[in-house]
Amino acid sequence: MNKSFHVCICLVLSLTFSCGKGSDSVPSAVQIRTPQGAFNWEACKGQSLYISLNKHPYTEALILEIPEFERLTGIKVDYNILAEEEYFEKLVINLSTRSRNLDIFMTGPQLNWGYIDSGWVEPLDTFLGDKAYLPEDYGIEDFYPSLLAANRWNKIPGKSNLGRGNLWAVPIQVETYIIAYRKDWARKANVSAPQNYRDFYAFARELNRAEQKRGIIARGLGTWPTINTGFITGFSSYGCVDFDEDMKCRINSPRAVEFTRLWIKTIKDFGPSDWPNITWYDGKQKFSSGEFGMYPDCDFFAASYENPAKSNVVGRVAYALPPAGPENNISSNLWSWCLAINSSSPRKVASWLFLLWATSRDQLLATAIRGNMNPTRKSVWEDPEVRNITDNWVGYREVVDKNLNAYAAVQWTPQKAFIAVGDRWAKALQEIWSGKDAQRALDEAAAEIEKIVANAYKK
Amino acid sequence: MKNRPRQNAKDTRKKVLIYSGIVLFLIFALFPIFWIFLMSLKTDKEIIASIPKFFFRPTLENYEAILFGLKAAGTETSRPDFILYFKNSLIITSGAVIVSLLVGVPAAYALARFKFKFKEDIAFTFLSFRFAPEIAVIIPIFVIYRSLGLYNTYIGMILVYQLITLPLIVWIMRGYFEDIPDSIEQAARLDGYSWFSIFRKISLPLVKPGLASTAILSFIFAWNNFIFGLVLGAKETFPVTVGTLGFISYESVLWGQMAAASMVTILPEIIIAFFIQKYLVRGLSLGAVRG
Amino acid sequence: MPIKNSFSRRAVPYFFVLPALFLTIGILYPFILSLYYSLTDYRLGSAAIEFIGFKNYLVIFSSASFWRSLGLTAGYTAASLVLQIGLGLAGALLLNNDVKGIQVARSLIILPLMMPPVVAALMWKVIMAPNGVLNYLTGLVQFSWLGTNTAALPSLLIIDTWIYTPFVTVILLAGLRSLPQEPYEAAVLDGGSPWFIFRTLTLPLLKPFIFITALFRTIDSLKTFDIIYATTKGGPGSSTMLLQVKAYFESFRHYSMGSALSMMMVLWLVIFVMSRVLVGFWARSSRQALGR
Repeated sequence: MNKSFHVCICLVLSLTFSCGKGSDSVPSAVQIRTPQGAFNWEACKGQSLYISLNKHPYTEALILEIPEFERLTGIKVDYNILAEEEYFEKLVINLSTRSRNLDIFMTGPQLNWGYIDSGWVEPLDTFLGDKAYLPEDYGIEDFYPSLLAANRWNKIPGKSNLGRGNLWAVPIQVETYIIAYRKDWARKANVSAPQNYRDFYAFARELNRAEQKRGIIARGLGTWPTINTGFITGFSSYGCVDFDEDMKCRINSPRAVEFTRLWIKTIKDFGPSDWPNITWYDGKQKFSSGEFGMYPDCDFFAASYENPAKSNVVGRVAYALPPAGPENNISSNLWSWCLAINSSSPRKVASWLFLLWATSRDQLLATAIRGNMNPTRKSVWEDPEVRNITDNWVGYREVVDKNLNAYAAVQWTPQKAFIAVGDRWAKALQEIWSGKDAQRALDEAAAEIEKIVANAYKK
Repeated sequence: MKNRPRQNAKDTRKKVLIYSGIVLFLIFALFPIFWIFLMSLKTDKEIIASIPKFFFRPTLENYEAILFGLKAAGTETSRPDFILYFKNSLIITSGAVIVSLLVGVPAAYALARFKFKFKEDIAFTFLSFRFAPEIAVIIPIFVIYRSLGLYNTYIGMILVYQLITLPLIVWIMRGYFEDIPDSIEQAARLDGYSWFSIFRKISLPLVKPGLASTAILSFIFAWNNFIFGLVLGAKETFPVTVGTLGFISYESVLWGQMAAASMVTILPEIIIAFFIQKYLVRGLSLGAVRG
Repeated sequence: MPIKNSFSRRAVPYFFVLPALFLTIGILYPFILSLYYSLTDYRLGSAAIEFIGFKNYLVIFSSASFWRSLGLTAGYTAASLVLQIGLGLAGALLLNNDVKGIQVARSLIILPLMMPPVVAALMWKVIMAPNGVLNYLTGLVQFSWLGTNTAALPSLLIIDTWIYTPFVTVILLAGLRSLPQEPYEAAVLDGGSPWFIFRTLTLPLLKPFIFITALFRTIDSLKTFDIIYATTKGGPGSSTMLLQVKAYFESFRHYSMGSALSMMMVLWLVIFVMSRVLVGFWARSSRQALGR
């Protein structure tokens, strides 16, 4: 391939792909404060915002409130909603082509790492650090500190780097991972929720025996969400980590192999025979239909379990903290839906206004009441209306309270190839379930994962 | 005369075999669709029940939900986007097929009838448009569309759907055109008719059955496409396939509504196929022409 | 007799063909772009793109998982061809009889094709669940069709066959019905057995149509993505990781665009070669059928 041809292609490509580069710096023309010093919500009057949303109770609640935002600010909002998988595919296409037709999108800490490293996300500290851009009543201290910390990263791979650096997104929902189980089966079998993972297998077995039905269900697809919920929660309680400080992959450490064996054996012996295809909604539905004894997964699925229109097990579900590991430590992973700003957006101030409004106490309360669980502001979690809702789910509130306040944190090590690493890890679990030796499968996965990360960070 | 009774027995045996074969085929083809139809009449709870239910009280709530956007119990709200997506599919798919027919049928005719330089290369080029793996081309097409302003437009979608419909129409119609005996057209040429009028008045009518089935097939393939609609469109132009996947929401999979949506989705295809079916009977007369 | 002058006579076919060519010339840019990216280390999100020649290709050619994926794709395509052409032909022959009610049957047989593959696959996932209706009807207890290593690919084949056999049936049926009737009447009068008639009369004339359906089914099968995406996503393990699914993971999830595109270029080439071969068969059988 001769050089001039190469140069031509590069020109064509750079033209195509760089249309849309160059984000506006905060325009000084925008008067975010009135001459009297009050916060000016109408600073960007007349502009239009493009928002990409994932199909979620939060979204369903948010779009009902958007007309209020339009009235308050004079900004017109155009939103697109897609189901989760399609949403992320479309999002990646938009972000990677530096689209100027996307301002705000929904994301989460783990997924954001890849986007942040690629420079697709706007750092929010420029706004947060400037008192002018923060309304007095915003109350940023109202957010759970661990959630804001989960969204800070200095782009350097390594656990100690989470919580440092810029804030990249504002959380609007949080979920931790607990064990939801059938208390009627447990009573029948005369067992109580396992306090330690050494009782985990026996618990599943007894539930299985009690009703001659399967004792446990869990996610099983060969993708990162399979690791993200119950699995990595137990993994962390065992004191294991995905990467150590030198970014060596440790998913095959002796302790890690021990836990993985336990997890998979429990599922293999007492779980669904089509486990490799079980998605989060399969698990939720099958538990709600009454076929399984426990589902170690998202806490807020309780809303479905206790809904007579969707569940056959209303009132028969108990909620327990995840068990402790050998050193008697309890850890839970968390996931948090957040709002972020596209770094290629030409309307950053308007986007910031939307962010402020959508994450204000009133808005988050409104969405929480309409089903967006769990809230990310302490005051919303403590609000009587929210209390009312969670009190209907017996045993839910105490467990989640403890988890949120003491045990839940992002257990993954931040690095840009999160999805690739998570997918490869999940595939190893599938192989072990299908009969491969756990040590071998995890050794191979660890080696490949280190290659993946090395490739991602080459240059 | 003495063969009659044996002949009748043979005929009946043959008929029985044929009928049983057809019934077997139909069972295999239709049972899943029947099951999906049942799903569309069940509540979500009944669908996920541990033992498959054949008997239940049917409900129309799923159809109501997708057509009129009734608020389902719980936190799920269905907005009536489904009708919009349905309309989009109708416009885009019909448009794509019509364009492909207008442009592809003459091309097929030329490939069947004429000898000209690069003929087989051009024919193969048409075919090669279908080779493109979607994953490979979707991002470049997305970028082009954005810069040309074709993103989220009906025209853009109709254009990209040509990748699906055009090769099909050109190659299958080519076969049907080649089937027409040369003699008929030679006769008309000798009578002084131009190529265009032969094409219009003689060749086209003769291939109507093939044209019908090809049109149906390309309509179906275009209607069923998912990836182009997802990536190159937004809520104004999403086809019904993208909409159907939207029933996998955060709360749960709304199987009942998804099944109802699938049933409604098939409807235009069935209607079109039914009307065009009549033409397939005419196949007999085509055979007669080749006396 | 007006005889057209030689220029416009020669130009006529090009006029017929030009509009169609024009429309689809647009695929050239994505093709060239994909080819170029496959020769770089392009990652979604990295600002710098470096030309690395055939390095991507060398990497995938020395990767066992790539060959496994290619093998699965080839095997899947071959098996689905055999199944679908076989069943499709049988169906077309059955439906070619003018018995009572045949019109209804002919209209109904096409129904599976009308379901969007993604939706059909999702519904089949429910049908094939361990406590689903398929196990109920076949008496199997808690058998996981799509979740068992060895059964997943065959199960996907069943779904694929269910969806696409009508395509073959419709085309072959239309082909059967366009065949001239007199040779048959003559052969029957002469006392030929059905099998003999089929082999010497029907099959040769039907071969062009068979090859056309084989052509389109091969192209689409090699590119299989929708059904797998909606059900197993390449699992369990990698037992259903066909090539385009693998490329999807590489590009959209792991951001290795250059590497994914090299796989897709290989797939493109395989499709190209297979199509050339099948078009060759089609052309020869077409000439034979038309007696040229």
